[in-house]
Amino acid sequence: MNCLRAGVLFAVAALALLPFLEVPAADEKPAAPAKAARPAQKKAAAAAKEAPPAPKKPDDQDDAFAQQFEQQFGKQFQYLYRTELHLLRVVCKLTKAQYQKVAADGEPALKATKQKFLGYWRDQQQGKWDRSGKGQADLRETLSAELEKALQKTLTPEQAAAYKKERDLRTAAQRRAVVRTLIAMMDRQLILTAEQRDKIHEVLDKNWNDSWYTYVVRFGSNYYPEMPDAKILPILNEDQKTIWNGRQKINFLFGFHGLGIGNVLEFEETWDDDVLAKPAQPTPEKKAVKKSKQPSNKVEKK
Amino acid sequence: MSAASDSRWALVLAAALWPAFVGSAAGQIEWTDENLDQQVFNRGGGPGGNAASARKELDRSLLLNIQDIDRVCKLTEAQKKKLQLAGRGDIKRFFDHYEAVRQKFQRLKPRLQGDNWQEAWQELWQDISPLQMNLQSGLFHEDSLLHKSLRHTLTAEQLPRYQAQAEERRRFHHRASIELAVNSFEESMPLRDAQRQELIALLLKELKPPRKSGRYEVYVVNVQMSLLPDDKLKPVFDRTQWKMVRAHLDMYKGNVQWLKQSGQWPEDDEDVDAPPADAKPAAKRANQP
Repeated sequence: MNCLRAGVLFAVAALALLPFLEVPAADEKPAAPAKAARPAQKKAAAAAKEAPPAPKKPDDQDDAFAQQFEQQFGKQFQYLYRTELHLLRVVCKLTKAQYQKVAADGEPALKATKQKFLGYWRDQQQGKWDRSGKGQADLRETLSAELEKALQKTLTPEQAAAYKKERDLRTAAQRRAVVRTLIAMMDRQLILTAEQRDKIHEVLDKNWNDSWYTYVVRFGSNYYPEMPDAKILPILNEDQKTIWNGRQKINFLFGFHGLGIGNVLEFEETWDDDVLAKPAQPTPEKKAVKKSKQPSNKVEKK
Repeated sequence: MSAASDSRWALVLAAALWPAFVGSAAGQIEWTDENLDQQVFNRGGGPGGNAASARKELDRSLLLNIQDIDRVCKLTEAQKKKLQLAGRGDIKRFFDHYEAVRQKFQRLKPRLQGDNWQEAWQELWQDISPLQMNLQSGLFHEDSLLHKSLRHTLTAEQLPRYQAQAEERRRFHHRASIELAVNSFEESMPLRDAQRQELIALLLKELKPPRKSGRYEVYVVNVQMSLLPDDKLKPVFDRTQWKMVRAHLDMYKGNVQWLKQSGQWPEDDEDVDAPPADAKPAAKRANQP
């Protein structure tokens, strides 16, 4: 009961600070549209010239939410998209033309991601907290999964496989980091033996919950999510069990956790030839060889 | 400061201000002793909601710490007693601090019930916050009496065994903080796996663990990372990424002093587990802010 009361009180306080948590910095420059998206925007602009629409008034509450969402997070979603496209560019070795095609074909993925998070955000604005962890999805993972779908016909099978591999490796790295962090949190309080740490690692790994990432990253290892206690307790000694049972484990998150959207900084793709080169650059001869070895690309063929 | 850390700070702030919300909901703020205890003892999954339950838990924690040392050092009964005494000293020191804060709370009550209660609350919060942090990171850290007494309690044969175990634990925590920091960083800029591994390896090599384990470990990693010379970090990223990375890291600069003041910042060139014969570290520590 105490846990519930403390949780609710904390939630009230945190909700009251939501604007501070999520509103982008006021001094941020307006986002330049993704280069690949510009043709579409030009078309839209031309259409706009033909029939200038009256300033749109929200038809209903959903429209109002959508507008507010766009106003607050639209730029960040664009930056998020561009950084993910940059990863695609590097992993799939895209030329500028290929990149532009990929960026245009990937727009539905951005739209779908925004829609999804708009839904979570609207629910939370309306006080509908989802205890299942839905709405706490990893934003970048959601976008990259959508991109994978949207680019099925755009990328070659090799390129798609290369991107999929990077996505999988990223997910695995996140999981490793979160499991390790949870064990470190427990260790601080329970002074685990190395053997106990290993066993708990195994338990957490086997009982992985996607929402843990949000808890650990958002709350900076302050709060425990709900964990598989039935499997953890047998690993602990009696004193450790007493302490562990006294820990608060939160089974819901409050606020909008379009995970990390506030962390996405302004990003602009650059196109000078050596942009992907590191400071220890290969000689021009080596670069030429490398370029000639790049796989042919489906986008170019089109 | 990044939005991630902004969020964390905001949550801390939210917790700090929750009596205000409770009060405004009720129309009047009630400042009770229980209210103070909840702030000190019932945050972030800390021990129980009052001093008595916290004391019990700290006693258990001391026991676990001594058991841990005993596992590798095979302590004698006399050694155990000596360590218990030192650990109890840490607990007493904590509760002495708590008592001082409690008395301050009583003195501030009239102001807390007045119109300018926020000012009084902020004043009190400055004292509550270190107590919370101490509880969350554990009392028996490197600056604790328990830890310091090890040098004089363990034999020359036991001490290296303990140091090896402590070092292994420190490395585990440090790696966890670094991996989490890198994953959080990828919210801003996704990395290829090869880059991720390269960055983690670089940070493991270049960064030092914080003096106190706790909720600011990831923050300490980010601040230390922001201070690394460009020539070490830059090779991990491509040029397009680097522009953003530098901007991201620059937001963490300027927080060193605060981390030093709160005892989180790693010490420079000091072996805290140095054997007692080495007087140099103690002299250095005395000069710390």
